[in-house]
Amino acid sequence: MKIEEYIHKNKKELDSQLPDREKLWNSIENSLLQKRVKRLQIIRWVAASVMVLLVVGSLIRHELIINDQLTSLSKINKELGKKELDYKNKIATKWTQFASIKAGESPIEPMLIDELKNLDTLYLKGLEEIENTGYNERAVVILLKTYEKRLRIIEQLIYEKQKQRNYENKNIQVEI
Amino acid sequence: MEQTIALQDRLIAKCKKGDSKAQYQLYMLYVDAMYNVAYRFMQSKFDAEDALQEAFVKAFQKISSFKGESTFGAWLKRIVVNHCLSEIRKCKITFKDIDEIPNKDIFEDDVRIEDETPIEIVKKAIDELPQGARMVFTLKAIEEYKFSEISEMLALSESNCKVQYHRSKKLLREKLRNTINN
Repeated sequence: MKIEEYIHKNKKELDSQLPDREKLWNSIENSLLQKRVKRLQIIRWVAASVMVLLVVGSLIRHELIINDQLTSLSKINKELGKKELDYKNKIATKWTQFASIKAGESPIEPMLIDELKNLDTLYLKGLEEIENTGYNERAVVILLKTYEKRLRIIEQLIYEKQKQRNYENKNIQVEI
Repeated sequence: MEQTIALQDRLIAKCKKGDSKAQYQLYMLYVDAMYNVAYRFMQSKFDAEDALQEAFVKAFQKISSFKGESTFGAWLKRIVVNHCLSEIRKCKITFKDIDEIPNKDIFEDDVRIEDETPIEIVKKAIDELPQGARMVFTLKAIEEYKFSEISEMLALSESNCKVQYHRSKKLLREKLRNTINN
């Protein structure tokens, strides 16, 4: 007979091996359990990553909104926004310089600080005007001028503070 | 028979929901047959058990993809066979294509076997075949796959599978002749 027929006829006798069923099942069960735990860990990891991304994303969005509010002239056009940001950076640098000088308050300092506060009010009024009446060059010039003035005042504050420090140093030497 | 199929369908449905009792019952229905399939390829108890464990885990994980286009047994056997073949490939055994395809005469001389030949002798002769020939012979003559399926499993052309199968039968005939004559 053909070999295929012979094999087909004796198929049952070919299947003579017997496995250790229980031992094999235990291994399968353990393996399934481990894979389930691993899958859970992956799901948790993915969920945590998504959460981190969402938090970071919302923080970045928040930061962008704040930046957008800070450079409010950028709402009119990019050029003005850039100019305003440039002023703000310069003012921040000067203010840091002023704050780092260790000396007592000079007599002129409260007056200059009041002047800065006035400029803040003037600036807000200018913004309000633009918001209510739309873009007008006069208001924009005023706004930019407030920055220019602020810079000058802070420079004046730095100068006064340095003078005060020099004065205090001299007094210390005299006492010695 | 219908009752068995209905029971099996119920078990499969439960397995799809991750019911471990149903998994165990389904496993018990097929473990013996699948173990013998794996053993024929792996040729050792340890390797067959290892391959079977992996194949069952894979089957239970992918059971939702079983849509009933074939019987569950055929679907499971395909997973076992594919896993065994991939394990064998890992041992750097390749199933090579034959360059030249012989003319049709080679297929005309069909290999025959005496009805009363003891099965143990045939089993031993099959086990002694070179690995490539044994794979093709096992897939075609024992597991009764079509040449198109074997070609897909071994990544060989269908005509090459046919030639290799015929050669494996000839080799088997030689081995049986030698054993019986001795």
